[in-house]
Amino acid sequence: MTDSATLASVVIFGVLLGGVYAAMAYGLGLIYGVMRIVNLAHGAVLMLAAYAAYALNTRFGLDPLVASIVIVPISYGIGMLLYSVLVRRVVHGPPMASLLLLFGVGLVGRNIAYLIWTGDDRSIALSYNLTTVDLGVPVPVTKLVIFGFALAGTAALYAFLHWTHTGRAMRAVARDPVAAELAGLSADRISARAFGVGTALAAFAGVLLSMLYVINPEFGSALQLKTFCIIVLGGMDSIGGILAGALTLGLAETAAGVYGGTAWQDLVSFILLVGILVTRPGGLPSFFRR
Amino acid sequence: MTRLIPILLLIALAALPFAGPAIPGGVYITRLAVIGLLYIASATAWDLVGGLTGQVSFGHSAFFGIGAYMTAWLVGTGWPMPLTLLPGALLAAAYGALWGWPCLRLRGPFFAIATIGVGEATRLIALLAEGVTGGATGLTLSIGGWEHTAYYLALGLVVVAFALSWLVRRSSLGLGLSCIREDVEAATSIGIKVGWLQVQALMLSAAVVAAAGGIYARYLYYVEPGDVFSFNRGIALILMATIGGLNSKWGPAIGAVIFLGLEQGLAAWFPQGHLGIYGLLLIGVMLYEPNGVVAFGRKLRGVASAAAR
Repeated sequence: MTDSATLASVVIFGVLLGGVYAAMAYGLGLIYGVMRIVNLAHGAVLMLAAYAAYALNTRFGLDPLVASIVIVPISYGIGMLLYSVLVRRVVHGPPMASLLLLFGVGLVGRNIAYLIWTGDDRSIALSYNLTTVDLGVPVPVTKLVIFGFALAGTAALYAFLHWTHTGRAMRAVARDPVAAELAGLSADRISARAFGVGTALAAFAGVLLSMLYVINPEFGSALQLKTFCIIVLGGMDSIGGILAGALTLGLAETAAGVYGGTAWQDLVSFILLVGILVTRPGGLPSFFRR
Repeated sequence: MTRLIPILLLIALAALPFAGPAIPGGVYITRLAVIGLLYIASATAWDLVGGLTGQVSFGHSAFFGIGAYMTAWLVGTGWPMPLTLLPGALLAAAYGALWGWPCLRLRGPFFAIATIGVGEATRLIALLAEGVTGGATGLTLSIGGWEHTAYYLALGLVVVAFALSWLVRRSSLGLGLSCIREDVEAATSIGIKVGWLQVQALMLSAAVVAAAGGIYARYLYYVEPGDVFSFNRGIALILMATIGGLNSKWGPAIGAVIFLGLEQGLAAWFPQGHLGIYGLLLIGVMLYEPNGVVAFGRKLRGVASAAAR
């Protein structure tokens, strides 16, 4: 391959990967924005949703994208339930309480996956997996479809946060919970819904990821770290911030994989994460500020 | 009377390797005790950062791994084993300072996330540096006759960890760290060197955990990155300290014993369920008693004495 063709493929695959990464990060960003909680169960949600897509595919032959119609609403319910049974009780406590509690939830989630699906690698076989489209370099159709759905998810989230009452209420609580309460919003109720939506977004991303990667119970751990990296990179002022962070990570990882080898690909997110956290010690700025 | 309990416990532990072969199951208990002592020392040392300073670290597996590998290499070049613990501890402390200096500026969840990154990056690098660490196959140490030495070194390390924890808590360093835990801005405003104090705590904690790693390596005759650098080692320390009681004298040690019992019990009866049980425990502790078993015990004692009255 010539240099320019290599560069073209890095850009194309980097952007495609970035789109999925963005979808993966919205849920964590939303929950942090509204509740100031870092959801360490995020990776487990991604992983369990991917398994759900796998199960529906092997049992009923459903395409994961179709299966998401079932998986996403159920995840919303599970998120609401998690909030009202567990998270609500630590949300105003010290930050470590919610962090460790949700880490515990994540461990339980991983264990459920081990019990049901064992530690073996699983993957979803799709009829259109091997089809490619020529965009200068051959690009698998699957990646394009997933990218399209990730962008559609982004648009839907934007519309939700800006044009629905609940979405705007979430932004209000994110900006100033006290003022939101004074204006007659129940921060608690809005938080419950935000946790539900955050979980549903993570599940949607998990379904998309199930079509790209091999699934196992540890699947979520590495992705969770990448999610943190995106959130920290993006500056989190907005959906646009997450998108920018995700594209940066997607491009950086793809470039590292092509020019440096797969070992570097795994290290990129760690290096970026620690580097950015340290040079911008403000940490995750708000998801919705401005 | 209660003051005598630790001393009696220490004497009993010191006698265990001799009594071991005589009592039924004693050899197994002695083996288990080595691991338990290493857990106790590590958890107590972890608490200097996680409890006293209030900075939860997921990255202590890096220190454990560094200590384990240092011992493995130096023993391979003919060093007497106990002497290998010191370079390991020093290297781990230096490594702690290296990433602690920038990362400890972060607070709460952000520090925790950064340490997840550091721990995982260290493990990956160890896995990739096959020439140094043996990669996924690891390194094997010469076999033979180290059980007793390892046991007494582990016991000694527990004493060191407790002494360190006690000394730090009584010193101006400990006071400064408590102040940082409660309110960083206030600590800064009264002239506490927030950065340097936290780095000191991390270095001390790293040194003890690395020594535990070194003893572990000699005891097992085998090190590999997937074991000594594994993310789960870091998590185990968090579980021990939080279950037992963060920022308390006995909490981490009690938590370590509970964790060891759970680990063994689950391995025997419900090996598929250990992650979930740990998770449920963590959830339960956070919901009902964020200060752990120690605080729960104190409450029970309060209820008992009120009932007796």
